[in-house]
Amino acid sequence: MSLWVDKYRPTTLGKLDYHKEQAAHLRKLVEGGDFPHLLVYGPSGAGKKTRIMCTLRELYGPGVEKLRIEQSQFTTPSNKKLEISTISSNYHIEVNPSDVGHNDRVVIQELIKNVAQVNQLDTSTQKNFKVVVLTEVDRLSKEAQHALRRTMEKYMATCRLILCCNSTSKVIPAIRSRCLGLRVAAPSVDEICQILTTVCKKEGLTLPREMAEKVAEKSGRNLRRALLMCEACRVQQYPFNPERDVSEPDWEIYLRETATLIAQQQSPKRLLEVRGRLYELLTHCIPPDVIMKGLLKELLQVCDGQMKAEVVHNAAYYEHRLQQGQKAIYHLEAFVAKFMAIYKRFLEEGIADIF
Amino acid sequence: MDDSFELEYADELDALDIVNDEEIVPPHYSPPKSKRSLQFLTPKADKNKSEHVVLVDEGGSIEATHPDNTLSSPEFELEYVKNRKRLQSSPGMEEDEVDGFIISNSDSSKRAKFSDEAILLKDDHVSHTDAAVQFIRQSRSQKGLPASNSANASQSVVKDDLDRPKVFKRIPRGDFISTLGYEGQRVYMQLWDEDVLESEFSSFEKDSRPLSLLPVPVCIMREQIEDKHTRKVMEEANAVHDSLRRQLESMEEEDTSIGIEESSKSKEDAVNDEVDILSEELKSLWVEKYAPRKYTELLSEESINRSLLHWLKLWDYVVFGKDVPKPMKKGANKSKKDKEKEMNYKNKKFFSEVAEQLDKHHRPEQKIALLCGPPGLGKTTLAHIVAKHAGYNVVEMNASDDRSVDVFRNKLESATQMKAVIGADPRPNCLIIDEIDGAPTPAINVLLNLIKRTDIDVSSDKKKKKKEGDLLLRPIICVCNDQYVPALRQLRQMALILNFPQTESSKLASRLHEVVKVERLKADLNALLALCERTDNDIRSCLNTLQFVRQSNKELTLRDVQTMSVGQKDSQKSLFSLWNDVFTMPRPKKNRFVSIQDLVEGKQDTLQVNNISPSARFQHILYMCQAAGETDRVMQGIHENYLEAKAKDPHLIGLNIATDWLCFADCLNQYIARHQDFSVLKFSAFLPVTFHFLYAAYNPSRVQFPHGQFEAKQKHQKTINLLTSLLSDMTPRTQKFTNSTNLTLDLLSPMLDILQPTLRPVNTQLYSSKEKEELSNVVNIMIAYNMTYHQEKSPDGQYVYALDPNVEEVIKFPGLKQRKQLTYGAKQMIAREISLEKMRRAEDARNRDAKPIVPKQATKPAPTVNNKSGPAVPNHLQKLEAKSIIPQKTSVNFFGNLVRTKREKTQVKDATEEEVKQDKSKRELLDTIIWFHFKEGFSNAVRRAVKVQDLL
Repeated sequence: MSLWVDKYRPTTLGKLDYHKEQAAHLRKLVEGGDFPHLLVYGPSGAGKKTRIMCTLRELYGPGVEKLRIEQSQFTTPSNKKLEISTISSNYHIEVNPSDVGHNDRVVIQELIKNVAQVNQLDTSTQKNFKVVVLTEVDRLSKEAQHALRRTMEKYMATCRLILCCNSTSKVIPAIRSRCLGLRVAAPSVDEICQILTTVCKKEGLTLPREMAEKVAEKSGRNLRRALLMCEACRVQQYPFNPERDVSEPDWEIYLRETATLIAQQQSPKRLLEVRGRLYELLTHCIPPDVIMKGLLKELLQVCDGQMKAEVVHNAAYYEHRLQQGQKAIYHLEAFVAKFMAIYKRFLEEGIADIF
Repeated sequence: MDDSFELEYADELDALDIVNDEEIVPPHYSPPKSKRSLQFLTPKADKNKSEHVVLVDEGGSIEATHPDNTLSSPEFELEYVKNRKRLQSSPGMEEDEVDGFIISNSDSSKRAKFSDEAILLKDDHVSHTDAAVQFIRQSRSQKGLPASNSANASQSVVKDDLDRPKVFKRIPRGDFISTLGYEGQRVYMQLWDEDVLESEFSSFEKDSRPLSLLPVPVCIMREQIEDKHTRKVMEEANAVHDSLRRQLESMEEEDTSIGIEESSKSKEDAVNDEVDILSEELKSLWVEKYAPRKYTELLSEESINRSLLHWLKLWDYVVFGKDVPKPMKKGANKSKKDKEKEMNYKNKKFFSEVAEQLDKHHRPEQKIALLCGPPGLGKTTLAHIVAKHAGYNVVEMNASDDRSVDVFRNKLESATQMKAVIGADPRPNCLIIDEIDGAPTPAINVLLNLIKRTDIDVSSDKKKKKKEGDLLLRPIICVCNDQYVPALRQLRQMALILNFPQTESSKLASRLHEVVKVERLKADLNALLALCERTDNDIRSCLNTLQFVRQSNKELTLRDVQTMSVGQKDSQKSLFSLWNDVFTMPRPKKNRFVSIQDLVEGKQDTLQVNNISPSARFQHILYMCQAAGETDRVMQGIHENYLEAKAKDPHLIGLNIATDWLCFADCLNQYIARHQDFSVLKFSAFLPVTFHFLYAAYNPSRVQFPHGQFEAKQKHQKTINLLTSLLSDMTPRTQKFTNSTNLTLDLLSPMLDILQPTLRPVNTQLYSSKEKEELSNVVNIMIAYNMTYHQEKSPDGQYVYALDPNVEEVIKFPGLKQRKQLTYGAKQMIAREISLEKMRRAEDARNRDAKPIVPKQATKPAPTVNNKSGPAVPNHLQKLEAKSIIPQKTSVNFFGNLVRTKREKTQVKDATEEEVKQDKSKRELLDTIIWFHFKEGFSNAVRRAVKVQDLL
């Protein structure tokens, strides 16, 4: 446990570094004794899970930190065996149902039933409910989400749910209305800088302000990434040199190069080349929507005002189709082709204007 | 003019009414007058007087006499018709009818007399009516109205068409009037009802024909042209047929022609008995009826027939050993040589050679024959006939039989090893396995074993006399459509493969022509050739079509063939051919069989460009896709190839359409998979059509088999596996805060940097405290994230340490600069440290398990006692240090034996004597000092003082 990310992860609500008001709300919620279902959402690296763990600790005390991994088995109606690993303590269980793909409904139903049907033994000293933490709820199938809504009400007496996701747009309204929504916004650049500085101080290092800002900018307000980058810098070179580049993940560089290729030339041949690179990204488990977003971000830099709107509109359109489709490559390619067409037209018009 | 006409006819009508109803005897009856009037009937009749003629012989075929009076006004006619009763002859009295004009030259007085007599004999009232008519005529002639002229003429035109009215010599049935012929004889005319006439009129008006300028009607000319053309084609076809015949005859011996003659003769016999044919027609299919019965009647390629027969003859020694052992073989050899010459100039590639040599059991090398080719070429027929020809009893197995392994084996063995005992002609069996490409793989393996097993058994341990399975001593012929079915792969290697080429259409057409002649179906050779082309020379399909046509009508024209939906077999083409078709612009194929009708009507243009018209291309691709199924594969192939296609698309608009279609198809697939709603599957067939119209070219680049998606999928799966293996063994605390997305996007890349601090390549003992701290940090991180270094041998024979699981692969992209690597030594050291640390922790955990309730005091001093790190190390690091080798804490020695502390020992008092004894010796051991000595390198060797007496 010695990456800085893990080492300096706050464990109680009081130790949280930002969104302190929200932390106070959470504490009051716990103290009030009427703890609702929670839906925690926010961008990656904003500290959703940290916050959840802190809340759990607030609820049950340090016992929740004794974690164990268990493999649970479920059988689908079609007699297919499903295996899913859960992380649990005596008081809570955490599971990522989307690991089992489209059979997530079975997992949701069985798991929650199992947990909820057993009452806590000693209710005098402890809370009389357990907590089920479901992560990546936005990747749950619609069926699973519908299965969830009744279960949530039925087992309210013995079980609370904490749902965790990046965006609520893919959570059905029925579930959103049953939960207390809790948005964990990404920390601001200042907040990240501050955290980086304190961490370095604890490590006995001095972090120049410019360096901290640079890392915070590069991280895209993702605290996890900021801390990791900072630590990587520290390993590569100490004392910190603000002049030095902060190393970026390879996939980002690769994506940027791909975007450059697209902007350089617009032809089917180039598209073929780009396809190979898109495949490469996809096979490295980079989520397609991240690729789409990254490409758009890079491509927008070569667009002028009017074109931007058109490109963004098309990106949204193809991203939507991507969610509806099966194979991401078709949709990414379609977006690239569309951009090529738009950009080529734009270039040709530009040339025509010159003459 | 109208008025005057009506006026005139009003008189006439009145008169007629009087005649009919009241039968008034006319006041004067004068034959000479009538005679005079009749004189006008001659062709040279005066125009002005013609009205009389018309009146007399209403509806008679007099019209030729008034060629000039063609003017007519329809309304007028109609009115006229309505207001009148007409005179008509009855069609039922044909024998009696006499045309006035024909008789006109005979002796008039005689006639008159005769008719007068007749009337006198018959009825008085007739004469009355006659008189009445005469009366009318008189009155009219007196009036001499010129206006009636044209009206009458027009009416007569009408009458000409009806072609009905006749003049009778005898009294006709029904109402009639009598009058005198122009020579004075009495004739009768029937009175027609008005309604009948009216209907007659209206029908006439409908099919009134325009005047033609040509001397011969066009339809006739067309027929003539068509006739001519057909004759020409027939001649050509006959020539082809004859030449083929001649060739055949020269190749075959005489009996060929005899056979054919015989067969045709017998068929002709059958024709004679028409009743037979009709009854038979209902009973049997033509396919069976006209199936060849002899070797010489076979339509398939001669060389193939021969090689199969030859192969079958090679079995003769084994099967009919007694009969002709060696001469047969020699004969076969000879014929083989001859054949080889033939085969040399024939297309040799179609079949593998018949291996000549026999194995030690005198069986041919190739144990089975495999006939393959598209349906309807006569493969099964060939097999049957050849087997019969060679003197075998045919046993057939086909797809309709159960082909499970057991049944298959039973059948196979019974067919190959048994022989019919009862029956007049007990012949050896020849097994024909039809449609073997559809058989399940295990069943085919049974067959394979039968072939192979006997080989091995016999060659290796012949003396043993195997109990299971004898030699395969009977020929087996397999028939299939697709020889490249995976199940047949092994079988193919040991089979004589005979690949059927298409039957020549001329050959097939001439055979069809024979059949058609026998069946009395009118069909020209041209139409038959077209039919062959449409069905891809599928004999079965041709015959069935012909029979079908015969059921409904007697003629098969070229038109029929072209419009019929025959020959569209649901044949599945390979995916490659589909992809090729999508990216290839079809070349205009000249339609060879254009009917004359189309030529005349100028339709040949449409027919010739038939297959390159957009609609035809559309239909073709759509049809192929629907037949091919496998929409996913089709889509992949298109996706991988369309960017290589040469298409002019400067603004990339086509590209956008194409990619949009791919997106659409993908969404469709997802929808189908998700909702199991296959009703929308039909739309996916339109995707290739779009691509065809966008990217079809006359000479496309080679279509590549789509690997990309599959490879990508495999790589993706590999990455996922790496990540899951990494995740699954992480410590719970780390696992809780990571998932695969986090790992790839944020975590792994910087982490690998963190894991590579600069370490001096010296012994760890010499490290400064800071360096030691760094090292331990790396070790801890790697353990927390379940990573280690693992020694591997690289392809060039060098040993390298690689991460295990190799997450470096996950974040490494081609074309980017390599990240800096630790040295071999450093990696080795880290790996060692990791395993040491893991061991320590395991020991620690076991300690805790052994003593579940560990007093706090025991654990607390642990880190401090063994803390090697200097004072600079922050507090939080201390707990991470090794803490396994504290004497107080250790309850298990290195070998895993429980080491009891003194406190525990006191508890064990009431043990049995033996236990006490053991305890005693143990206690002695335990009381001694124990050293744990860490040796350099990698062994936790333990040294302690043991005396001999301890062991005794």
